[in-house]
Amino acid sequence: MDEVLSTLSVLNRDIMKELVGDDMEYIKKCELDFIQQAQTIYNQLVSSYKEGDFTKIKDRSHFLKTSSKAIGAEQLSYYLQTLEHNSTETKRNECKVLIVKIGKAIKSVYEEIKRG
Amino acid sequence: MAEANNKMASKHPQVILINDNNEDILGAAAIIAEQVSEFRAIPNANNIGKVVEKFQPPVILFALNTVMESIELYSKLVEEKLVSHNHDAILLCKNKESNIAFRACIKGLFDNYFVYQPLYEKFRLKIIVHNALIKHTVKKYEGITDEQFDIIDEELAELIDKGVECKSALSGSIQDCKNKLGQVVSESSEELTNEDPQKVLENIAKNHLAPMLESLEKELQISLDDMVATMVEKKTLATETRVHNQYQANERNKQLQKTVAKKKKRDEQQKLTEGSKEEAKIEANNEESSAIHLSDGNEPAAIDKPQPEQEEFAGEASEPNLITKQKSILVVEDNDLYREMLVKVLGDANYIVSQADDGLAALKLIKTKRYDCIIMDLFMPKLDGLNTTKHINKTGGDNPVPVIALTGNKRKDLFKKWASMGIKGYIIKPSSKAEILEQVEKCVTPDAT
Repeated sequence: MDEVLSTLSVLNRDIMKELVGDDMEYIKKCELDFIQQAQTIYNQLVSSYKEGDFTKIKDRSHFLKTSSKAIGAEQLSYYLQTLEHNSTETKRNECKVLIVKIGKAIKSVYEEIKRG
Repeated sequence: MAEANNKMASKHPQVILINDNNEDILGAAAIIAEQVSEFRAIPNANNIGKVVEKFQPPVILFALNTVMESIELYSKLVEEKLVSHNHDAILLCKNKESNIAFRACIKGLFDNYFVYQPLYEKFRLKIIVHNALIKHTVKKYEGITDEQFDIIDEELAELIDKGVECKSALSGSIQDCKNKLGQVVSESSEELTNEDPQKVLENIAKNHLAPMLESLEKELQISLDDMVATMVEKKTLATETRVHNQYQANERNKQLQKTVAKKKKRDEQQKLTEGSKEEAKIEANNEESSAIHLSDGNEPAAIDKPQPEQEEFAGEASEPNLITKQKSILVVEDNDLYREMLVKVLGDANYIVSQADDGLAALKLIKTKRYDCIIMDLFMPKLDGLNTTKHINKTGGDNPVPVIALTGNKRKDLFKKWASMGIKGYIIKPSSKAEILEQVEKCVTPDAT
């Protein structure tokens, strides 16, 4: 996992530019909207884990993976994809570790956005 | 959640869930609470026997830390005659202990078991509890309501209902036969003592069994005919819709050909008229007439002033250079942020864009408007992309709206499978603006290369 991660960016802004063009104001707005969405979904992931609802963990991680890929949050989308996979196989401990990493990855993306 | 918690603490529970750890059973408890109002989750404590004896619930679920502990507790309750009332005992266990649970059920200690950790299948739990409550005819149980069903294909739901009717009719016929057979046996026992047994048997076969089998066969035939007729009716309706759509398409083509012919005639007449005018003007003023001639040669009159008929058929014209129309796209994606990005990309490219957040909402929109293309996520709540596509293709006759799938999956075998289900193209998320527009362009102009 570490090898793959080392090739991925916290926030690759080229991806958004390729998707929506050079409208920096719009990109900034999307990034801030994304952070809000990510926080909400992260909280849902934590409660679903506590409830042992792995189906919901799979759904929610898939949901956030879509926008994190679009925004260029490469490391975060990698963790989400791994979580989606592990929740399908109901690997409880692995899911717990990944959810913690996802929380940290969201913070890193936020820091990167603040830096501009 | 508050409502669910209240349900988990009913004063007169018909279903109880005995557990060691409240957090472990939250998911399962929420499912049962949604289904049964008289439900209580009870922690395993020293007084559990008294609690069970007091409530005498028809359904008792055991979710202790291990299957062994659940077996021990239930055996103790049985030994101490604290569960002497009619009930179903259901074992909730971890996947790794399912073999022990299975054995405990086969041996007859428990009535059923359900794997709830690490993953559970909620409808399986619902059917176990449902069957137990029906078996013990719990009056306060309202059964599974329509709201608790997930939405499925309407025709499939109808077919299930029809199957139920057929099964019910058949059960009734068999019961009638059994009743008649009982009557025959009692009548025949008297005859057997007085007459030749061979004759009595022949008599039974001829006068009782043969008519009974004939009647059973007829009733079965009626039920099956009814079911088959429903299926044929649906198939005929689908064929008629296809024929109707084909007829409409042919009519539109005829109308279009007429319009194009009229337009060509008008163009020719206009050129002739303008030619005559020009000649007259040349005579009057050479310079002025030459400027008009140049302008007319570069811009065909039909484009400057389109006729109403041409606008009406603009989207289907066989000569696209003559008439153009903005294409409309429907974006179906549950992630609002990504959906908005797609809408912007397409809007900037001059498409008219509508949006929906799941398959059901998309189907509602499709009923009210004809789109040139639909871009749809495959993995969505309520109604997923593949099932929505099936609906679109089923209702679209010979000319369904082309669907492009949004997916994070890069497996080629899946793409082939989706293509066989009517998906015309795919966009791998997130994709670039150029890739998205290329796919859409391919779909809205099928001749594009």
